[in-house]
Order: sequence, then C-alpha cells, then structure tokens
Amino acid sequence: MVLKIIKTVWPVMLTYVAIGAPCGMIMAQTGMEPWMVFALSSTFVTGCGQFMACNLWLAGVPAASIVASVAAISSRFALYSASIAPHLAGASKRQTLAVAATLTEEAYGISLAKLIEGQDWGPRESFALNVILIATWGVSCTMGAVVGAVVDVPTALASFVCTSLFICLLFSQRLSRGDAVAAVLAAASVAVCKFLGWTNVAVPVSVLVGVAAALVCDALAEGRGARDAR
Amino acid sequence: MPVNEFLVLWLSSWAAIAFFRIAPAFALRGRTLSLRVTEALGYIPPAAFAALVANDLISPGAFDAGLWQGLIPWIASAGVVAVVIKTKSMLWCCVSGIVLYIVLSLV
Repeated sequence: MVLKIIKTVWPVMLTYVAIGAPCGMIMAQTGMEPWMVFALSSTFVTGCGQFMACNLWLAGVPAASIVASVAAISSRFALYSASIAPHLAGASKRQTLAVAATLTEEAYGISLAKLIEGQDWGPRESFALNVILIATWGVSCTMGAVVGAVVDVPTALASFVCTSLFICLLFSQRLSRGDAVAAVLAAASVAVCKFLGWTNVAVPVSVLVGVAAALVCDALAEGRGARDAR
Repeated sequence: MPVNEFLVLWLSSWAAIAFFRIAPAFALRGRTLSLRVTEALGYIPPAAFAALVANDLISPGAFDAGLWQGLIPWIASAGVVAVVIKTKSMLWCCVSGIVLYIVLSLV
C-alpha cells in the first residue's frame, strides 16, 4: 500500500523536499533547534504558516499576534475538512480523526480525487498518504535547519510544482457551470484580497466567496427554470 | 529561541490548526446533509484549487522585476493547463510545469 501511494505522490514529495529545506533554514534563523523545527513542521505542515510565523518572529511581533496570524491563514483547513467529511462516511471515529488531523493541501486534493474514484482507496490509504507527506515535510525542514545555508534551493521554482499540482487538480475534474463560477470568482477574490493587503486570509475568504457565488448562480438558474416552466 | 517561548508559540498555533482540521470533519460526520449543503461542499474543491493557484500567481509586486519575469509563471501555468487537458496526468503536469518554468527563465 505504501509503495502504491509513493508511486502516486513522489512528485509532491520532491516538492516538499525542495520547499521544506529552505523553510527549515529560515526556521533555524529564528534560533529554533532542529528538534523544534521537526516538532513544529510535522504538526503545522503548512509552508505558508511556517514561513509567516518565522518572518513575524524575526520582525519582533508578539507571540499572540503570531498565533492569531497562523490561525487565520490555517482557517482554510476547515473548508477542506468539511469538504472531505462526506467521503469519510464509512470511516470509524478514529479513522476520521486520523485523516482530518493530518490533512494537508496536497494530500486533500489527491485523497479527495481518489475517494471520489473509490477504487482501492479509503480512509487507511488517505491517512497513509498524509503520514508519508508529513514525514517528508518534517524531515526536509529539519534537514534544511541542520544543513543551513550550504544548499541554495530556488524556492520560486520549487513552489511552482505545487502550483502545477493545483492546476492539475482544478482542470482534471469535469467542471459544471457552478464549478466554473466558484473557481473564477474565488480567483478574482484572491486578486482583490491581495491588492487590499489581506494576504493572510485571501484563500479562505475567496473560497467562501466562490462557493457563495456558485450557490447564488444555481438559485438564479433554478428561478429562471421555474419561470420558464410556468 | 527560548524553549518556553517556543512551546507557547508552537502549542497555541497547533491547537488552532488542529481545531480547523478536525472540527468540521466531526461536525459533519455521519449526518444527512441537505441538498444545498451538499452543493456548497461540492463547490469547495474548485473554489479552493482556483484560489490556491491564484494565490501563487497573483502578487502586487510580481512585475517589479520586469514584465517578462512577472509573466513567466502565467505562461508556464497556461502550458500546464494544456498538458492537464491533454493528459490528465499529475506527474506530467508537475514535470511540464518545472520544465516550462526553467525554459522560460532561461529565455
């Protein structure tokens, strides 16, 4: 099972190594010991949250503000968790807890696609996938912290692998009119949020905007259909 | 970083992240959801992936280093879209994305 999952996710694992190493280097700059880097990385598993926490710490921001910022940027996990919940209907409490507690963005996308396909994929596979990615991320960050400035990794290039993955997950599904509305409005909302300086909450806010727009679009279409029927 | 300050930062943030990850899955677990809620949950993946792609591509200072530098991720993304439509392969998308990004950076 592990080999089958690794065959599916090795490009993501390579990305985690490439992004995790510089992330670990930045974490080390805050004065974190390697064990701290490993503990934090393998529990947060959110690159942007970790980069943000380190930058704020280095800027001398109080711990309470850092926690609030990390919580704000991590609120998007609530949407992923809500979205994957119906596909874990047959899972036990323990399995649901295991899958939900270890959810990452990339793992969410891959697990959701596999759970919808339904063939040879269940909560156990989703959890194993999450653990493999978390282990990769935690070890990569720790190695980055240990190795320090010896290795120069082009982060922009490395992070584009994740962008490619998200593009693949977006366009590989059959998009209905509502899906297209949700996607376009969410992307437009991200642009607005970023230009307003709301970078920390751009993704979760935009997902809600996209979903709301799609529901409004559906309601308008249903209303028009009912009028035409009359 | 002192250990006590690290523990406060780490455990408080982890608690918030864990809450966001776990609470919705348990709140919705085993419930019969209304049609509207099911529809709304179904719209989360396209909205989330589009938001994540936009979040990676859109930056107010993206063109500060020059027009071409700012356009590289957009052109590479367009190439990845073509690859996903043609192949539907995650592997080929990641490989083509990296290759396109490197080639465009060298132009």
